[in-house]
Amino acid sequence: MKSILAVIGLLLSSSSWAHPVSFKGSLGIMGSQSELLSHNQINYSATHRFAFGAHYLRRPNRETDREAGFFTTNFLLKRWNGSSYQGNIYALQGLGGSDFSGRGRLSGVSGLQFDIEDRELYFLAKHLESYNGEGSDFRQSIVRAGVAPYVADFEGIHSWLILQWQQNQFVDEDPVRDVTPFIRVFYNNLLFELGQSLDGVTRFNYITHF
Amino acid sequence: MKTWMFIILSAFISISLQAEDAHKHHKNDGHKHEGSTAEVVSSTATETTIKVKGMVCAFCAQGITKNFKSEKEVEDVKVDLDKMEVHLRFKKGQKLSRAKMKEIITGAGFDFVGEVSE
Repeated sequence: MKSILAVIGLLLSSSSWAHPVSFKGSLGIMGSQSELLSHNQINYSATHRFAFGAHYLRRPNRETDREAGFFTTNFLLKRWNGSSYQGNIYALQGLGGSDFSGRGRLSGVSGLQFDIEDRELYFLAKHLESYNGEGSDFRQSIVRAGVAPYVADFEGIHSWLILQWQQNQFVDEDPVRDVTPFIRVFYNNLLFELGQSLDGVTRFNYITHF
Repeated sequence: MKTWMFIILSAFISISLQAEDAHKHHKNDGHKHEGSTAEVVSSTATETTIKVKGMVCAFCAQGITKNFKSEKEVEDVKVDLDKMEVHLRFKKGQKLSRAKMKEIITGAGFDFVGEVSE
């Protein structure tokens, strides 16, 4: 049962709010910020199925911050364009460096994401994991569901209410889980989300693309 | 922090209610427009309407407007998420080929169904 849940979790992991591949020729900049972890990335989509990316993660620490950076290749593995919905599966692979384990090391990163949405509901699940020669030094799983309180026109202000479950696990530490309700607002090519977890952690996400 | 969250939530609800109201008015206006000018909008020498599948997210559909507007033949682009249609108005005497329109729609990640008049 646990393995089935793990597979579902993996398939449903990564974020629909942040498509790692966008339209052909676009440059996307996105990130998530909190006192526990910040993650910023930039992706250039060569086609609507393939993008190059760069990620920077920083974990604030009482003694010294921990950081990781990766260059990635992002793929749209599967897209369902329905008459009233769109579903996607994305994957990313990358190489870079990380000192999450306590000292700087050559590291790899892998991610898998599933999302599906129509104009009123949306669901996303993703998993991101970085690893070095000794194993995984960071794992992140996110599952989120959202509802739009109204349906806006293309040129209008769009709003969503989103509930997110998140689990972060660093090497040699217990996993930290929390649930965060978000408010998302976007207009044209600028999107932001603001939320506060049930444990009191404030989170801010943003996306823009050109 | 709770005070800030309350203020932001209040602002969000206000924006939501106003935006919903604006959308209803727009839809009503759209019905009137559709009834009187459907033939003009469908497909003429200077305008055409493309049916697109999968276009449910305004944020993701920004690539359609961006890439159509970069074509010298195109004067204006309107996206209708309700009908999943893209309306193109061309400059006088000009038009994009069907292949080019399909290339832009699929390049944005959506399925090109065809022009409405087809």
